[in-house]
Amino acid sequence: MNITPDMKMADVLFHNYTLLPVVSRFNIRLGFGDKTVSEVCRNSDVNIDFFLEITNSYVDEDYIPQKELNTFPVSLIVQYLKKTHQYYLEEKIPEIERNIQSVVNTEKTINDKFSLVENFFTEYKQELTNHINREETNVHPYVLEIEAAALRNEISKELYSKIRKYSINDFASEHDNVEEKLFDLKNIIIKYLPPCSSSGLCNSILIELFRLEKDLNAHANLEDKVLIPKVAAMEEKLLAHYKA
Amino acid sequence: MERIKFVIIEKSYLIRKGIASIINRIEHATVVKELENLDEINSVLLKYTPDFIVLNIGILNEIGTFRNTEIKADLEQSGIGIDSGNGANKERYPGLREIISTLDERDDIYNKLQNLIREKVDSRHKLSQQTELSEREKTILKHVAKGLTNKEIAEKLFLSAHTVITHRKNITNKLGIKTISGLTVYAILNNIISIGDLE
Ligand SMILES: [Fe+2]
Ligand SMILES: [Fe+2]
Repeated sequence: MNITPDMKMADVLFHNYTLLPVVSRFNIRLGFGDKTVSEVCRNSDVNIDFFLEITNSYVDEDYIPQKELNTFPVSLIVQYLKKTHQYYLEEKIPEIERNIQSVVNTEKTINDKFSLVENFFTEYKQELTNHINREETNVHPYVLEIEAAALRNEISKELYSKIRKYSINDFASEHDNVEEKLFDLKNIIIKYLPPCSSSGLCNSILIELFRLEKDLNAHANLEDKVLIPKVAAMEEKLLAHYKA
Repeated sequence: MERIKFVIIEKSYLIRKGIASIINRIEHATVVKELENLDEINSVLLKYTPDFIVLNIGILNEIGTFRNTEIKADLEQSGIGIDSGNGANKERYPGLREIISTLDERDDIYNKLQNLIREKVDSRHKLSQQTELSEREKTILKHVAKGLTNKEIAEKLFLSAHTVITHRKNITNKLGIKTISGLTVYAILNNIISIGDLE
């Protein structure tokens, strides 16, 4: 069932509790009473079309965009991506890290094996941090610059050589997959590690890993399938304009 | 189950997009990269390790003159030719797994693709049922965990890079672990390598 503007926001969350962190990223706070999705969006100054596309594709992998996601400004997409990065680095990763540490500290019999998981996760955290830093310091400013130029429909010599030197497609080909490692980690915990005696703790680590993986997948789709093609089209137009 | 990955090499925009949308509609299948020509093929193959390569048969001649490329060895297993001329048959292109013509009927195209995908899914399934690594695979895993590249492993064990890649795919399918760090953890947990070996 698709999420539509006239549904009650509370019902949307009753049906899809995995949307909770997504809704927070739009700075929408709980306590909606019986307000509909469109009312809540209006009150919180959220672009409703963008909200619908993001939430629908989040809950349903086969969701086909109603409005071309491409009609949204790059700045809106970038803002959302940044919020999501923040959520990973400031909330999710530390949370999982804490749980892993508790297992290492409490499970004396298997802690030498579990410290492999700890190292693995530390390595992962570094990789994800680098990935995100690179996007925020290089890619985001670049795509915003492209959008600004495309709106004015004028391209400076500097921007021209910038595109020539490192275009969004260069980024696309270097954009690495940060979900794979999480997938492996789940597999290792489920299949290959000796069992923890406090299974509750291990389960919550696993559940968080599943959620993080799903979220990262949606995030990467937004980057690869929406942002990159959109910016590539703008670059193409600008280059053609420069030559003309 | 991880999806069956396709790379498409086709100059015509219309044909490329057409075949991509058909593939993406089939269960378990996904197009990971579309290319217009062979320029980036080697790096694309390394990065995506596709299960199938869909390519215009016009490009086959170019591959003939291509040196040092992984693609040649692989095409008999993974190559699907697109014939945009007047209906070719497999016999005329013995180096390929399957041929799709732009004149094919809808059902023909779906059947051909679905059969290939089903076979792949089945064989992967079989591999994931057998989880025991062979001695050869253990040796390769040990070198992977030590951080050696496919090429280095190939040289050390007197194998072709292509064979090493095939072994690695099988290891990944058996264990369900893709990344080097994941494989390293597995190798340590199962005493295939000791932490000391990693220094
Ligand atoms: Fe990102
Ligand atoms: Fe990313």
